[in-house]
Amino acid sequence: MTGKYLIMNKEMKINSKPYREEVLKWKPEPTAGGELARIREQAFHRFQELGFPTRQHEAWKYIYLDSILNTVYTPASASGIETDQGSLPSSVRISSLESGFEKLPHVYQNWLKNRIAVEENVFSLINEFQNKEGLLVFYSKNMILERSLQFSLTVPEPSGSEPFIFYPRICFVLEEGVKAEVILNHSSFTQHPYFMNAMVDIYLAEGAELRLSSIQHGIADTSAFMKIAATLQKKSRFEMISFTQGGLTSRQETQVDFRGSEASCHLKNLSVLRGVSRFYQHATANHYAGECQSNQLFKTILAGEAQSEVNSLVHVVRDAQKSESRQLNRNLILSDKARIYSRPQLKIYADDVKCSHGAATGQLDDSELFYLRSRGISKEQARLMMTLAFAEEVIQLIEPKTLRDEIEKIVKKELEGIVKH
Amino acid sequence: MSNEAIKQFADREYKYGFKTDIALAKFVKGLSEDTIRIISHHKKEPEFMLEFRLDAYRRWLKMKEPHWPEAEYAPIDYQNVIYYAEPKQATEKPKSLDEVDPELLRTFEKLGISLMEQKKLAGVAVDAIFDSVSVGTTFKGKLKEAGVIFCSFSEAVQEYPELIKKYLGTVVPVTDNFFAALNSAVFTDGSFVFVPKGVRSPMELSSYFRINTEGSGQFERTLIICEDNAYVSYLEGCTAPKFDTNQLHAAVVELVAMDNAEIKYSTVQNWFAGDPKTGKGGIFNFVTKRGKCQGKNSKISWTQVETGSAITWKYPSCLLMGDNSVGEFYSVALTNGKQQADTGTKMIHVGKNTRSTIIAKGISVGHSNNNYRGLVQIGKNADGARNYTQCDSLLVGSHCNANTFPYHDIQNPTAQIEHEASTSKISEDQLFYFLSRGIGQEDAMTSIISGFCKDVFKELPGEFAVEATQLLGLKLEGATG
Repeated sequence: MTGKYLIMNKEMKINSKPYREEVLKWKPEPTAGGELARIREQAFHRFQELGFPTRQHEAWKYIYLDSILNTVYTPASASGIETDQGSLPSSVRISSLESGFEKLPHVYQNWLKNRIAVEENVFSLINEFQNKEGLLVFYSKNMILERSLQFSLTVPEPSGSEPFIFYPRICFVLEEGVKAEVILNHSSFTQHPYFMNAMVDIYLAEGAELRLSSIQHGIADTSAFMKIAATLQKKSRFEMISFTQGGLTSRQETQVDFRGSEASCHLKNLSVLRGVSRFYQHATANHYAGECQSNQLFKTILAGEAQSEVNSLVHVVRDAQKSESRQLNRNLILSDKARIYSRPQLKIYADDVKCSHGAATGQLDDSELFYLRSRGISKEQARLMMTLAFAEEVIQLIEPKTLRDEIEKIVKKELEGIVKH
Repeated sequence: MSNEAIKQFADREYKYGFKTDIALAKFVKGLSEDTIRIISHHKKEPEFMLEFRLDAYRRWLKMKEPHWPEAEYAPIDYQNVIYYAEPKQATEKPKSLDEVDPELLRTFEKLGISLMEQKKLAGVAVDAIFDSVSVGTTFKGKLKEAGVIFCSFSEAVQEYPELIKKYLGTVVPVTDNFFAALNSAVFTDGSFVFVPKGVRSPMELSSYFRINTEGSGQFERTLIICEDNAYVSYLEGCTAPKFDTNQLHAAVVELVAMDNAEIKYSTVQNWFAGDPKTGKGGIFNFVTKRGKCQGKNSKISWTQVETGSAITWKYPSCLLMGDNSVGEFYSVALTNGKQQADTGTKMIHVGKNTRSTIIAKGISVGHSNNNYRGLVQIGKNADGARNYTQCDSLLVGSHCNANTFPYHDIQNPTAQIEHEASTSKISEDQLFYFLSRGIGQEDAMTSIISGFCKDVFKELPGEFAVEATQLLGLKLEGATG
């Protein structure tokens, strides 16, 4: 059984203005009321204050935003999120954000309100007031769901040939002691050019554990922005494995805020980029509480004229003692025209910490290649083996196995294409 | 480590905070085209220099002061800076050091700089800059014999205008940044070094900068050129008296290395850092330093020991244009009190098989703010480029911070780039090891920190390595607990 949470645009509004002007025309829905409507207005005002980022902003330095801001987008006729929820135990509730928000316990309502009030990413703010119907996934205390829930970000029947836009939004709230697995899927469903501006909020209460696999592939003609913001309470654990092939302009921002001690996060990403694929990756771990651990591993394979940015930051505030963090960024450049920007950064305001970071960029090792060739393996095959081995470190972490096999197949096919050149 | 120990560790005095009472012959306050004309006139500069300055000034007027470094400071009033301060001397221009005001020489003596010829044994040629002008250069004759030109910048403008015209502003263009433009407009003096083809400079060259006048800014300009197969090692040191007001030091250093040439540039910077408790006063050290490895197989190596200044903001960089050229950056940045440092390097790889090494050690003590910021850029045609970067931070006490902002921009598939960094505190285990062997806390900490900086100190020329170790020890004095 699959669940569909779609919003239909009954009165199809055709936009005529480029995005940078269209967004400013937002007006609150006349019928809207309640807390969520107020949050949206607040987000709109904050957006107006901040304005669109320019290349002067560190976080937007390399991205070519004009291609998005100058395009006229039409809202998708229907957009939203599909799930394979099957029959769920009553302790897991999936509802629209609209209807679910008012029923949320206050502590989570406040969390969402406060988080949005300090949001720096302008596009997340736009998602905030533009998204018509987000999704709320709520796991009650101590719920342990063995199987993973899959959510697909999609537009079911894109119509017309105009570029369209949609704003998926999911909010996961895990109460104390919950263990859950989630797959977030954004893959090709249309040949139409579009812009997806997605937002994922995650709240992990004490001792909760979430494993998120985020897959993005086959969206070469698409601009896709996604922000994932996770708040971690005491002893919680957040693990995120993501795989992407990039897109026309693709940006992923992951922000983890440690709000309780002894929590941990593990962010792992594999990007395989070719053609004119662009992928801008930002990850921040804010150690607001002590004794937390953050781990980041980002691996990128670049071919063709692909471009990528890996911008990771670990921020340890004053008195967040005994924090531990590790950042590792490894990049493999396989063509003359590919380009990578890497910035593994540290901001440390506490003294009793162990923080390290490393970045390495290079090509396939000649002596390794020679070793394989000397054993009668063709050059192409040897290159494939070595590139695949580079990718496997992340692929091996993907769960469940069915998904892992699927990703492995995609990566293999992609790499076969790359090493031939 | 006990809090008491950390507190004492952080409380230390600035030894070079004295002021020399010496009459000023001329000084110019405020900034305008007239100021620039006066400076140029005082220095009897040729027309092209005045044009260079005025052009820089006009461009500077259109530029905005940058605020992106991780440093906070009150706005600088550029009209309230003394742009030119010259000590009064018996004769218009001293022919030899005997004619230099003895008070002035004593100042340098106090600083441990031997200007007097009888101290030749020290074996180092020194150019001493007091406020805005060079007061004397030692060993000129001996250097000239070898063919090395080492003199103050003003002298060079008079005597070798064609060299100045050819190289000035070629590495750091006038419009490079706000402070470089300001320097280009108002710079007063500095050192000039020219090592002709095939010459190895017979001795270490050294310049010493001292800001003495309250409210004055020091805008010095250093230009070092090494022709084919030439070699020079150059060291600069800096101090200033204690004043409650901030003083601006906006220098520009340009290095040019031709085929197979090598330039080694070392800095021991110990400007007054401001009051460690209130953060009042101190030098704003906003410096642009850049070297161009223009020729094949050329090499430029920067070594810096940064212990002073209220705010340090500098990124000694290498433009690796020539094939097989090498860039190096070794840095120790120690911040204490309310000091803020945002320092690092840029390695721009343009030529083939270019290599660069970056070793940066940051030590934060007290309430200070210590940042490493560095760029490694591998251009499209820089086949076979290599970079190795290591930046480590050490935190002493829980009120300071250490940030690391490395930037990599890689456009060539044959590049090999490695970057490693770590942040930690002085390990309790190491300290315990020392203490259990009867070594006091202060000595233990100094030893551990010296060990932490060893990779950089070993790059300093002989005597200066000793000086730097002593300086570090001095800076860490009072750590007994």
